[in-house]
Amino acid sequence: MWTFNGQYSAVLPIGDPTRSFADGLSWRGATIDIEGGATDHLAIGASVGWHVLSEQNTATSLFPDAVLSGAGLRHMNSVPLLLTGTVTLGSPGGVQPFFGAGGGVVWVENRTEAGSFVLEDTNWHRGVMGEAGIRIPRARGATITIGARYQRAFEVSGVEREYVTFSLGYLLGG
Amino acid sequence: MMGGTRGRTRCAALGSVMAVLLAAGACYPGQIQGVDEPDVVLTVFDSSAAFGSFTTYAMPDTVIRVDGQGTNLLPSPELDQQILDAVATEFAALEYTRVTSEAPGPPDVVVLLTVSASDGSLWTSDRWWSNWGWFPGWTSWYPAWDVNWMLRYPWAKTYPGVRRSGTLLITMIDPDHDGSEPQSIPVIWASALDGLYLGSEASVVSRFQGLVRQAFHQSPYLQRARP
Repeated sequence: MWTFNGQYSAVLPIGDPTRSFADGLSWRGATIDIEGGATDHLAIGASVGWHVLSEQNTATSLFPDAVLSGAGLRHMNSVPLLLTGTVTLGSPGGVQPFFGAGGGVVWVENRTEAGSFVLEDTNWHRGVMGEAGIRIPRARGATITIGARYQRAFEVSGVEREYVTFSLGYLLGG
Repeated sequence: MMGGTRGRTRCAALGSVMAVLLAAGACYPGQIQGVDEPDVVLTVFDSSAAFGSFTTYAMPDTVIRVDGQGTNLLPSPELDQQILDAVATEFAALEYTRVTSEAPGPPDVVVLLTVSASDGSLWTSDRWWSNWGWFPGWTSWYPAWDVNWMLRYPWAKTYPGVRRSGTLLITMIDPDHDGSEPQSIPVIWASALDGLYLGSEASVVSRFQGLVRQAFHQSPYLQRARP
């Protein structure tokens, strides 16, 4: 039985490489999970997300063969594409804690706008995630999900990114 | 009917969620339009260039000013000489030796300074940038370089940008570097200092030395290799 979970996600950067590029909590993110139940408490599927970090700062941005320094806007757009597995505890129909993990690829675009200059660096990274949260059933088969997910994009060309998303979702199916 | 009502409710809820997701996923929030913030330094380089092997350079004693039509404008001698001195100081710190157009042999690299009088593409390769007619070294060292030759920036598509009025562009050319196209003058390093020539003369003078120093600080590969 398949489930579809559409989530609104807030994004918090962690780790020095990510925070030095764009720091601060971002309210711009979305995550979609589609999973099928292998057993009553185990589901496997896929996840796609779109997570944004941005900051106006005065910093130096490094690119493979360019450097841009000065006051400007720095944006990170991250699109993780993952295969996932989720374990739910408790009884169906009640509040259920869940834990999940996944791996796949993450498309990351780092963009710096300073003055009249715009520099972009785009890479595909290997990525992993781990998450925990709860599912709260509502009437008529829908479920509210609340969770936190750690997301990491491994280093490519000297760039790595990691952040945590805090998501509120609406799950259908199951 | 209850089933139909339930289905429409779910669709409405799902649609609301999707609308929120799409609205939340803006790519570049707060994208600046026409920002007027000075003091931005961009440096780019050709990673295939033989940095570290250069020991001599030539640099004209004038800062070119060009408008959108490629017309050379009158220079500002008072400011220009200070800019040229600042760049020469940085090259001296890198242990480069400056040569003139009267030198018997060509320099390892040629450095040109240009200030824009209007907006335009940062990495233009059009002939309107009539620097060679103005730089005597071209005819003595590279007599084949006529107005049909063009500057080529290998990073032009990767790092596009706009020159605004007042942008100072420092360009380094390696004549021996393989050009990507026939009759192309290979540019191996460039620095764009945005907004440097904006504001009062006192403002410019107070800022430019720091910006020029920053441009070279961002380019450690320019350092001459130790024997």
